[in-house]
Amino acid sequence: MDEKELIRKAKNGDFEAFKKLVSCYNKQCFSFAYYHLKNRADAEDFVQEVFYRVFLYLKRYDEKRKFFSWLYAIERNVLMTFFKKKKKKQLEVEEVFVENIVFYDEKLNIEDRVALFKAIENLNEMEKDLIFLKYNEDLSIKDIAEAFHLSEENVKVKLFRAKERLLNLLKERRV
Amino acid sequence: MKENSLFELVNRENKWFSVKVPLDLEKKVVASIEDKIYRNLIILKRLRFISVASLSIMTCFVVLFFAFHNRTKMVFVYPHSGNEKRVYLSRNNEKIPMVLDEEKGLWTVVIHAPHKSIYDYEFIVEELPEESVDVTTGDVGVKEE
Repeated sequence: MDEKELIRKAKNGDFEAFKKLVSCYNKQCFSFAYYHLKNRADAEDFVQEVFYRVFLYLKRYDEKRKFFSWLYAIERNVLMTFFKKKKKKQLEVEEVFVENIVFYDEKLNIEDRVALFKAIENLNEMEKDLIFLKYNEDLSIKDIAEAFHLSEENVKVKLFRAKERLLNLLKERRV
Repeated sequence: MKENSLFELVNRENKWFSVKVPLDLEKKVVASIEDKIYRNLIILKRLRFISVASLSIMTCFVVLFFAFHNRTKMVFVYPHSGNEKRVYLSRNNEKIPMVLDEEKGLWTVVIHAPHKSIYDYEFIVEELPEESVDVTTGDVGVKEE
């Protein structure tokens, strides 16, 4: 069953179809939450809240839009409420945090891993999300552009700048 | 060397990292949503019950209020002869004592009829000095307002 069919069924109250949607997107949602909230318990609560909202508002979902970009908008809203509860937007990057992340370059030691995420924390919200979607979710530029309502060219430029800023922050650290 | 590997990672175009996801996450999410739905259903049921109950109470109150205010008021009078000890208005073995208005020389009582209909009332007169009972039937002195 393709995604559109699944969404249509879930929209019509088919809970089994909704469960399959959860199954497809819960990992992405958890990764997004953990990347921002830096805590597994909070990330689990976040995922539950996001999918509860998906369940409540699925009827409003416009099928012309990609489901991922709609879900991403919900995630961002829920994230704002979580940050409001915590009363801060930047959370400390600790060793425990990076232990729950698999790096594709195994040569990196724990300090470098922490340094990378500390540098990411210094980027703005959009840059942080761009890095996440591109280098954690491995999304195409086209999909990212749709999620951000930007042109593909614009996304490429922003991503390039985000990486440059990140490299500069890492160089500053070395100095 | 290690720093270089960090820069290499940032310069690569493929995936850099991925977050370890708990194995039972999906189950937990579905269970929490089912729980929330169930709880909301119960709240909804209770709200529905409360609204129906309060609506019924309000309806009863309104009906009783209008029923009370729409009752037909009837004033019964019986002429005071000066010999009566007491005069009662009676219906279905229920005796309602009448009040003597000495200025007007009348025994009076006000009755609220539950609804418009025909009722049979009797005047029971307890006379002095002997306690004889004079029963007068009919519509003597009935006024409707």
